[in-house]
Amino acid sequence: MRRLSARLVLLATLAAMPGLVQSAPAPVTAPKPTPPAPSAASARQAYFGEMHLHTTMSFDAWTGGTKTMPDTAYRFAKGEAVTINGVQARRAWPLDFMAVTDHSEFMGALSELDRTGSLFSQTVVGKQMLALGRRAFELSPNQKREMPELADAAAASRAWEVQVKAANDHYQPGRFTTFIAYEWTAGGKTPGAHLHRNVFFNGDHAPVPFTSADSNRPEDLWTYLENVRKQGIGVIAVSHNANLSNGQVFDWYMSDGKPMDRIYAQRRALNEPLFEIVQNKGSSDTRPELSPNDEFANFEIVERLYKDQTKAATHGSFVREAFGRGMVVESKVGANPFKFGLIGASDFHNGLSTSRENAFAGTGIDPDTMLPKGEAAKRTLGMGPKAPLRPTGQPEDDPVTHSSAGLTGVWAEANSRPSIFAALQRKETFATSGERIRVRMFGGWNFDPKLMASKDWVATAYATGVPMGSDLPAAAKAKAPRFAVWAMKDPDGANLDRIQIIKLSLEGDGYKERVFDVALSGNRKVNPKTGKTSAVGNTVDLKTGTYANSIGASQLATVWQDPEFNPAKPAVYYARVLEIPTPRWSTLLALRNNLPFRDSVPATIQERAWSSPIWFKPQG
Amino acid sequence: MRIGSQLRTLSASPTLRRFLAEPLLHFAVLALAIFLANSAWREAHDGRRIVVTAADAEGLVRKYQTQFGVAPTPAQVKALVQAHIEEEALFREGLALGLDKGDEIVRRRVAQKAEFLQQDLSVPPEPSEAALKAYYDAHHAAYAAEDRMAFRHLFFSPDLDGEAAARQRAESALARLAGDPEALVTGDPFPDISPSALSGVSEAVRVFGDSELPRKLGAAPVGRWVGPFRSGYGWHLVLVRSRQAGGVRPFTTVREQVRADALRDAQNRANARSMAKVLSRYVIVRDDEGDAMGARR
Repeated sequence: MRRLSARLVLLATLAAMPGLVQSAPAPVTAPKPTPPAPSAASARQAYFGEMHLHTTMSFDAWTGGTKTMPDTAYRFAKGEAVTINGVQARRAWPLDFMAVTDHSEFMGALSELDRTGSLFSQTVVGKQMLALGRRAFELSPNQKREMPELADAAAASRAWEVQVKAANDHYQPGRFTTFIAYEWTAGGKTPGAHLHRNVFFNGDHAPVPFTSADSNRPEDLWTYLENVRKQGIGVIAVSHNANLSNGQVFDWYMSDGKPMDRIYAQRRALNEPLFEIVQNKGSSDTRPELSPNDEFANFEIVERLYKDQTKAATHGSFVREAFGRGMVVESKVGANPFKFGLIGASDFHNGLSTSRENAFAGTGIDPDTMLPKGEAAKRTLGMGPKAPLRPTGQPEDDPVTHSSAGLTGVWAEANSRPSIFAALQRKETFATSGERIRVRMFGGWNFDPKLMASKDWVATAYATGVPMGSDLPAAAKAKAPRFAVWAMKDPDGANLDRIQIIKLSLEGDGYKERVFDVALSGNRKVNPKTGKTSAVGNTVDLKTGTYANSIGASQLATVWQDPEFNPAKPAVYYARVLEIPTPRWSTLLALRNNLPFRDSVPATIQERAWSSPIWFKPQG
Repeated sequence: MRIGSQLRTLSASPTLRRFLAEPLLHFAVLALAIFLANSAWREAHDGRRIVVTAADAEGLVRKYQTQFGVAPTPAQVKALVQAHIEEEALFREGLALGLDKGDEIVRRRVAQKAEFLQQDLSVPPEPSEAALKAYYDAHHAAYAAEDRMAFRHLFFSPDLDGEAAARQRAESALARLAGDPEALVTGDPFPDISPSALSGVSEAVRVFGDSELPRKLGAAPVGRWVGPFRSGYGWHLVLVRSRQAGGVRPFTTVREQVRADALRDAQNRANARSMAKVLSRYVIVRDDEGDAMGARR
């Protein structure tokens, strides 16, 4: 079966060779079968954006030395040159869309200290904050609540007005889309654990943010979201850093400790249609302990330990397992709480959204330069003095394990709020580890194995199948579904190694995981005995930090049929696209600063993209 | 009147006349009058009376609604009103104790309120069409547009036969197209990843990467195939069919942006003016500077 799928790749590639392509209307070259009528859907384009970024209006960003205001953050994202501490900075390429997501708790309070003559800077607490600087980050939520001056300062900063205005000022339909947004910063049962959600509004106005002081329970956030929708404003919440949640983001239980029920599952799926799978604080796809047969599972894993831990919690903290658990929950209560698409982001706290490995700014950036240097470079590479425990008893992450930024890709009709928000809601999205890899996946029952050779394959796929983020429609008769997958490299980045399809199927009270190589660059084939494919190679020169696109492919495409399909069992499919190896940010930074490489992280990585999944549910 | 006639009657008695001339009596009457007036005033403005009007309650409900996006339940309204009453009582206690004096927070908050008031008072008027046009003319550079092109391209992918062979195929194709730009020549498939047929260089960079192709596209001749140029994906031949000069975007299409820019500029100027006006009412004595300068000297 797998040999067949590999042959299909080859067939598709060969058949795809001829064709005249252009950006103006096509001249007729030969009589062709009538293609399906083009719909708005088939004209959808990939737009790349940032969905998670902090500015000086976030408490922790200010304590990290950030001075960037939302207005500057948007200017930088659009490709304008901005001046940061006297240094001109410009993004390598302009983003198509962005949402600044400052923490809603005490939003704007500390930035008041930078406003000349501000009220807060005259108070004892304000002076304490100035003196604490970075250490102010360690104040607990309770400590902050006991300082009314902080709430006063937040109010005086008129932070929410500033956020709404910046988002609206920079929205240029057709060119650059913004969303009014914020981050709700709830902690879990473990002090410091992440249950945070970003909240995005589809409109030019929005009610004031919900904060973790209002409630720490996601169920209460959903009530807020549901009430906002009743006012006619579209709104969604997106969770992130499950990898740092100590098993709580994808737990089996509700906030009150009871097992999930149907209402909870439905509300979660409705209010949280997406998950941010990759960002600065690591990836949340899976990890080697959970996916022992996935040789690419060890990617940008941040090992964050909480008080008294020697090993991070693995279960309940990763997306792949959540897709499996979602089917388990659905088999019991009739609804799938973990039915989400995938996005990526930076979660940078310096207000500057960069996504390239060589523009790694991270949270620990030296605010004087775009790239850390000197002692800051050492600190960023984890070579500085060991940081003391946080007051929660939690050790600091090893900074070198932090990742460069991820990106969100959406397939949308236009670069506008309504169009991109609709794409987010229908989960026609993908995540990348920072590269502009374009990826598409469609599921259907009748795709022609040679579909990808057709110039109109996208229109046909929409007309006869469903895009990623959807449910497979009911099958006419019992046969295996087919998936049309396509990926194209970042125009300024590395070639592609392969496309994989990751399948999770319900097995009793658990789930089974399979990873299939479905499209390969070069002349490689899947080994039918092992199910594995040889590595693509590695062109990275570790002396110069460069690589060559002499291996890999600029595009990959295939129609793949599930060789192990069981029509009685629910299943989830999502695509993962791998690039050829390139130098990791830590390698580039070490080379630039004449510092040694750290052994705890790889010198090269295979950047990647993840599609949103397609779900199959047996009938009846 | 009646009091007057009574006084006249009473004035008949010398004792009474003496009594009426007594300053102590004048004082007592005056005190009584003040006391009565004060009681009447206190009846209406009692520092010990907290009145919650319907408008107050409505305001509390509205504030809750803005914050939570939903109307409060009757129990929540009750709690909101109770909290309002308690805050009012504490506020008055604080005023009575003079806690507002010498407090940095209060001082700054009052100053800020005055500042907002000033700025709100100086909202610039809606600019006239003539003023907008004048602003647009004075800031042409801000409203410039890129040249836009309609073009065809043929793609030669290195995926199948490598970099050199792909380039070679592109060059052979160019030779065939030299005589006839519409000759039937095919390249490799290239997906439709551009949202419009008309493209500026920045859109071309978005699609093809920061590479040779978009840069050459901007200067390519109209009506003739040129190349091969490298993009982020492979080799391309390009035929620019038409080029639309960008120039300054017409006023009608950027009117809204001009209006926003003009208003923002006007508001900034107005804020500066109103601050200057406030300062003009004061004499600023900078003893600190005199000392500092003296020290520097």
